[in-house]
Amino acid sequence: MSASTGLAAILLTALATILVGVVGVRAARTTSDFYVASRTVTPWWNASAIGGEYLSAASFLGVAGLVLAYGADMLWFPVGYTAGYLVLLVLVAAPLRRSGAYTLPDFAEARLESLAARRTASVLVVTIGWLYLLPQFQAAGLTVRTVTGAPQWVGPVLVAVVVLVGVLSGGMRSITFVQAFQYWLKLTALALPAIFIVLVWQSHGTPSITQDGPPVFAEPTVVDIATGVSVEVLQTIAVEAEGTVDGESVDGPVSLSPGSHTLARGTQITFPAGVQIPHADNLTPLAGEDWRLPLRSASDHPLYSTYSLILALFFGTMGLPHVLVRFYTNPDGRAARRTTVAVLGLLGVFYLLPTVYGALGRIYTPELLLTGRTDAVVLLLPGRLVDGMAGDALSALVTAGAFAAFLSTSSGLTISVAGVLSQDLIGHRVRNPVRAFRLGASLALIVPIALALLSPSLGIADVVGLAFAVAASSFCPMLLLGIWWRRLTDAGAIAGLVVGGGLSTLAVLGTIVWAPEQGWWGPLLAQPAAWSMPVAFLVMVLVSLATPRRMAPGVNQTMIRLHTPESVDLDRGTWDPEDRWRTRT
Amino acid sequence: MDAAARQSYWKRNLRLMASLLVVWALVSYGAGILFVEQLNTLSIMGVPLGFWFAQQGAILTFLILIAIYVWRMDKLDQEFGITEYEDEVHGS
Repeated sequence: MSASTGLAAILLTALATILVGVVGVRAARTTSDFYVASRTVTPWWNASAIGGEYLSAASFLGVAGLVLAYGADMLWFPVGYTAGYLVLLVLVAAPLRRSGAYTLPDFAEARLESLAARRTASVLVVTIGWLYLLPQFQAAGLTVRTVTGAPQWVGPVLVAVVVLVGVLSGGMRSITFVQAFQYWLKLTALALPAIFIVLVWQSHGTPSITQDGPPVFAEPTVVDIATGVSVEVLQTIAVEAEGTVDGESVDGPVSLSPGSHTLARGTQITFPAGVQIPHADNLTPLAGEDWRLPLRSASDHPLYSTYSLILALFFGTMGLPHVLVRFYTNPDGRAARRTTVAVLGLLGVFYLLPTVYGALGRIYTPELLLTGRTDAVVLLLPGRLVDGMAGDALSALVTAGAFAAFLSTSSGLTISVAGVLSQDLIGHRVRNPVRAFRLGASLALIVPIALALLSPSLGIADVVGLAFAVAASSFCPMLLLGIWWRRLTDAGAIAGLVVGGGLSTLAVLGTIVWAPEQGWWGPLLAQPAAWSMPVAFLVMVLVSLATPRRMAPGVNQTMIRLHTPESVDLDRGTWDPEDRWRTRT
Repeated sequence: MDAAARQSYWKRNLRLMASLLVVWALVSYGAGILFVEQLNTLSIMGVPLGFWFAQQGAILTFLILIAIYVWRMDKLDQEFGITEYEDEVHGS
């Protein structure tokens, strides 16, 4: 695809986003409009918006990339992304809504009647938000680079600017319309090219996706190295190279012996047909049987890794700040339930598609295993398989869809993180609440952008998986115990949040910095949820039992408020989250 | 709604939740781990689709479970005369 078509697609998406947002702005007048759209959004709109917000870069690009490299095991990501909604709906959604809290820190304060608990929750919301924003920006950089060849920083900055414009001007109400629009854009952008791709694959006589041996180049392939990469060669191969290989300038035939080789940026390598594909060092793709069967992952303990990932995804959803706030935009509990059904339907339809890209990418874009940029498969496949104008148009469509994915998820997260930053962490230093919110929004974006530009290229869906793990080991225990166990005390909750959130965050950092491959350390750090989540629960329960005097004085009333339908006339206590804003503004 | 009615409402709510979560856990566990070997033998047009079908099936099952929850809760609310309206929810 030509750079200009791609650029046009990106700019159009950005422009449409701002336009839809501006229409929504007219409707936003009050604080409640701003944060929860005054609870007047219909279930259908709201469901599209939740879908639009939830389907991030990890779903749009990441899942296909992981399937390309690692195969069947990675199908757990879509299942986990949807399964989390069921626990969220059944155990948490309605009580949380009735609590009257808008955010997780609000809930911590309302239930535990402790400002310290509120602060702890605030820090964790920001941590999880940043961890989730980081891969969005990495993906934006990757997309802009793949499509237009522009430097890595252009994508993140572009996304940040559009998000800031949207968030600062319109708040939740306009974002709801924007995100609903973006869900449908994403679905179309993935579905339409998928149909063409499958048709082309069939016209080629449906070549087999799973060869028995390790992946090979089916036909002579020219690979341009856009970012310097270190690759692992398994058997001696003869190639044509132009550029820098292993630090030496070459132009002509080269023989690569088994072992590690570095390919410098700008090098062009031509592989003859039938040659085994060298793979990037930081990625161990699976082949043959191992690729198509689950529980065969490259780590030493696949069963543990699978369980831990499942736990993180199933229980992490409820701890994601941008997901929770969405339940408040419904007018009542019944609409909230209806919304969830629609959301799950919309997500289910979407998740049929990434596997198609990942699997066919095995045949048509195998060089991604060499460059290590498997996340780009969704962007490259349509142009590779469909020629001419149609191919250009389809490529532009997936590019637009990918951009919609970054924009919608980043907007939702930015609102959540900025809200917490401005209310709890910088609010008392800046008097003017609007200025505090703007400052919060900028901070919410700058930190992850810096991290995205500094950190090595991690798999998009992997990093999102880690954000889920931190959420599952901190907010999940706080919410479940807070809602269902009246003896939870503020000391217990804080201890659990610090220990669970802290340990899982350390494990995440350990994976990023140290990345051990062998033995038990690798899986334990890469998938911490299976041990950090039980530890967090245990700490919360034990510390709470040890500090029975710290039980919130109004806990009985709070519990009644959480568990009785809103229309039933009861003494619900006096806590009202909007007081916070009334006193301020 | 008096205390007895509230208790019975609460009990039925809990029973519904428990049964849905049991099915949820069984489906997740079964589709991905227990029946892996059997699923792997299923293949369509040379593509081993068993696991993929199981996963899509799992998503569908969750959808059905949620639909059941919504339907049962609506019915339960009706039985106990609970209706939720915007102005009663919150003064916003």
